[in-house]
Amino acid sequence: MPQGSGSEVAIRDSPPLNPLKGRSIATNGRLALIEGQPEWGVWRPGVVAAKKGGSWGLEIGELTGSLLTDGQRSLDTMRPASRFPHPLLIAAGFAILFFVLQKLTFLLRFPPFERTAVWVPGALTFTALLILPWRQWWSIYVGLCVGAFTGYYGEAHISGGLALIAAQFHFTMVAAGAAAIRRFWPQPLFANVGSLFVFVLTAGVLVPLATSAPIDLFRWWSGASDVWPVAVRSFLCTSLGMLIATPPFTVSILEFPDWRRHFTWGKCLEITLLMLLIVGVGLGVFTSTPPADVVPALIYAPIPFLLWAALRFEIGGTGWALLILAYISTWSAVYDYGPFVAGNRADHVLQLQLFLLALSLPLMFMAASVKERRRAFSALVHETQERTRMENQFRLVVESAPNAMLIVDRQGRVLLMNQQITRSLGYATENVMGQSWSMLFPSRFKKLVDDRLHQFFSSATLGWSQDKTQWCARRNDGSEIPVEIELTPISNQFEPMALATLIDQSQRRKAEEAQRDLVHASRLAVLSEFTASLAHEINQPLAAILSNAEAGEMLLGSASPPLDEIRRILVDIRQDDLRASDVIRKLRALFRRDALERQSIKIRQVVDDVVTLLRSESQRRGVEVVVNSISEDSLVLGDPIHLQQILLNLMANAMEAMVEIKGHRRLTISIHEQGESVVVSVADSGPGIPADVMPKLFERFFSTKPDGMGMGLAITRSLVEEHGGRLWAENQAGGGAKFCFRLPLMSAVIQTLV
Amino acid sequence: MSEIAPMIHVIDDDESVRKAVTRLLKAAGYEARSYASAGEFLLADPRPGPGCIVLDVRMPGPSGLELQAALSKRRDPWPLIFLTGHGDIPMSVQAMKAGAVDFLTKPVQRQALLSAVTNALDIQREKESLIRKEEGLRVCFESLTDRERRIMELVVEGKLNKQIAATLGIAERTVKAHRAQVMEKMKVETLADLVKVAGRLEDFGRPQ
Repeated sequence: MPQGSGSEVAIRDSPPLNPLKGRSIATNGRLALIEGQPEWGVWRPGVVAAKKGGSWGLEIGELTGSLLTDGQRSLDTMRPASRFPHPLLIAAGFAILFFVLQKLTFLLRFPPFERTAVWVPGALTFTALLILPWRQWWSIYVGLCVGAFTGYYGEAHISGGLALIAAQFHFTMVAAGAAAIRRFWPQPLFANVGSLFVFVLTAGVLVPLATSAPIDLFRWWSGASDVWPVAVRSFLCTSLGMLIATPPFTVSILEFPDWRRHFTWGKCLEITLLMLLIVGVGLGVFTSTPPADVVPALIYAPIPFLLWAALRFEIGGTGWALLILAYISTWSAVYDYGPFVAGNRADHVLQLQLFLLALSLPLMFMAASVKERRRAFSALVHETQERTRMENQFRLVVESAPNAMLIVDRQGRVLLMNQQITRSLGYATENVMGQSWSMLFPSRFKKLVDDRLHQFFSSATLGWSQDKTQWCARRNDGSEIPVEIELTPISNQFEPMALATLIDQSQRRKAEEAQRDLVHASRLAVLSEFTASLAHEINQPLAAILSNAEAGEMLLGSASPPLDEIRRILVDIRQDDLRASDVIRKLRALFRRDALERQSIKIRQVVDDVVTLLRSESQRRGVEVVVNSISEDSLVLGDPIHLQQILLNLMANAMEAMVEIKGHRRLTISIHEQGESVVVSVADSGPGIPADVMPKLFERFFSTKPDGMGMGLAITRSLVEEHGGRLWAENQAGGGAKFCFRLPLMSAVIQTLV
Repeated sequence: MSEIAPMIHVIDDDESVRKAVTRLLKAAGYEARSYASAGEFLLADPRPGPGCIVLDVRMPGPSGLELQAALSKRRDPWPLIFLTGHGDIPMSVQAMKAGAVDFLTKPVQRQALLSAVTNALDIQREKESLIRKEEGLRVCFESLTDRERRIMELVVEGKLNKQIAATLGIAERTVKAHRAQVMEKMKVETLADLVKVAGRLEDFGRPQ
């Protein structure tokens, strides 16, 4: 199973309590590996739970000891059962442990009450019930019954049967306490003062009280003489056991699967040293009996080591240290050593219990508090790191952007700028920061840019906005460059801000100019191939005009000029003149370099214009031109010259393709509407397009002609695409190539605009 | 000379040009007919007679040059005047080689057109008279007897009467008589004229 995969880190670094929905997670595999999209999930720092299919993945990270719940979902539903050993194994293990701890308790009994100072087996049950799923509680019950029965069997002071009955009480009360904690407990367990307080109240007061109360009542009822002293000691015995032992047990068991991750030799050494010192100091303090009239100051000797444990090893370590001390001190007190041997043994136990209580509670709270602080601190550090990282990333993004960028507030003050401002406009960072952004513009634009910003912020919905207006930015040296301004809303929690991007248009304009030159040059190249034919188109009407005029002149010179004929001549002259000027007008438009405004234009008109223009060329080449138009009135939005160029190129190609053809040369242009677009096809009766040429057909600098530039079709395609269309080529079934282009109909264009 | 007025055939696919040129020729006093294509002209199959053809080189269907090639196979083709917008040299060379009278570029000036037409008609007329003359000569020649033809041949070769007599094995006197007969029948006065006539006959091939 993968260990510590990248996505695990991502989850750990994520802010707490974000829903995981739609995110894929893979925990490090210790509990479950969840890939793909989980159906549901939560995470907190160090704790991840997610559900996919029927299985739950749960990872407990740094917050060891947290019992993860989410609303109504308890730990049981979240943990896969497979995490725990077989229930019978648990029962057996529990029984053995309980038996051992119980026997240890018997060794450390204080006569005459037959109670020990700290009853640890109760904590074992409590821990087990806190950790195990509900449905495995029965194994604890079984283990408890077995352990309690065998533990008491053969003991003098109590019978096995009675022990079994006591075990029922014990289990019921501890189970109630564990259930209450699992249901209502604030998270995370033992990690803050509040949750520890609840724990102390439940495990240290309510459960012991409830456990010992029935026996006390029974004893009172049966008329025992020492009901009160026994009740106090018995309560404290259970309470101390629960308080001291439950945290180290729980933490250790929950952390156990994770020990490898936290293990360091230094830590191991420290723990060993600390334990040795505590054992040593404990033995030293609790086995030496001070003189009766001296204040037993020595009993404070373990406190530094307990503090050490509390500060360094949190509540788990503190618990273990306290547990060791409790056993040592109990053992010494039972066998009449140490400071707690004043008076009778019944007082030993009480004094010892009070001593341990006084010692353990503050230490535990201190450990919880330390843990809480540490968590808060690490969260803060984490957040700070995260913020720094985000800021660095943001900075990187802003700096690596090719455009000049700045963040401005409502008033237009520059809060942040990238180096592009310095590079392209020449302003030093310190001169711009905090100033109004209008300083980046020529004075005539100052008011305009401020208005624009105001308008941007005052619009109801802040949205991305790009201004097509050609602004000019002013360089530091006073020169101006054309820019386009893009405003993007960004907001922190305080106020809305705008990310303004100044897009340098000079490069783009140059590129546009170059493209326009190229298109123009290509158009001239195609037209130049037709020079003779085009000249012919103008020459014809001029020739007719001349002959008509001369005929008229001669007729006028005759004795009786035929006026009707002369009138007809004049009509013809006028018509021919118009015809010539029409051709010239069309040609002049084609020769012009600048693009025209897009306009609504009939595609049929474009086709007719080009066909007329190329009439004598097609005649010269012996090509019959046929126009099949199903859609006479199809309107498109386009630049008429560019549309003509598209057709000019396609027709020139088609005629060129038929040069070698001996038979009938036929060029067919069809126009038909297809859905929301119109398709124009130019088909020839040439040899068709070879398969190896087909894929390269529209590439630049690809030509099959020896003197071809290879720009014609590439430019044609770019012109079609500029009009929102598509150009393609195919071979016809009956031979010959067919070039088609599709343009959106005017109506469709209008719809998209609306 | 024929009494029929010469007919100018204008062939051009461009209607306005066709109309204008026809109009101009009519204004200049010629009979003129127009055709939109070479095919139309061939279909109309106009009666041979004095006249000429003014035609465009490039037309849909058969081009001007193709029509020229087709017409040249006829016995008495009309003189051709090409009228073209594309005044390219190879085409004009080809046209002139094939016997075109003129190759004019549009727009054509009246004077150029009319002088070309006049020229063409003159050429045709000349050709006509030449043909007629040759036909006369052939008639004369055919009236000669075999002996007279043989003697004419030898005379034209420059043989003396004595040599002819020796060649043919006849008396020198008989040669003289035949020779006078030949001169009379061929309607010539001098030996030089006879040589000229014979030369012309030679060009047309000796009919036999």
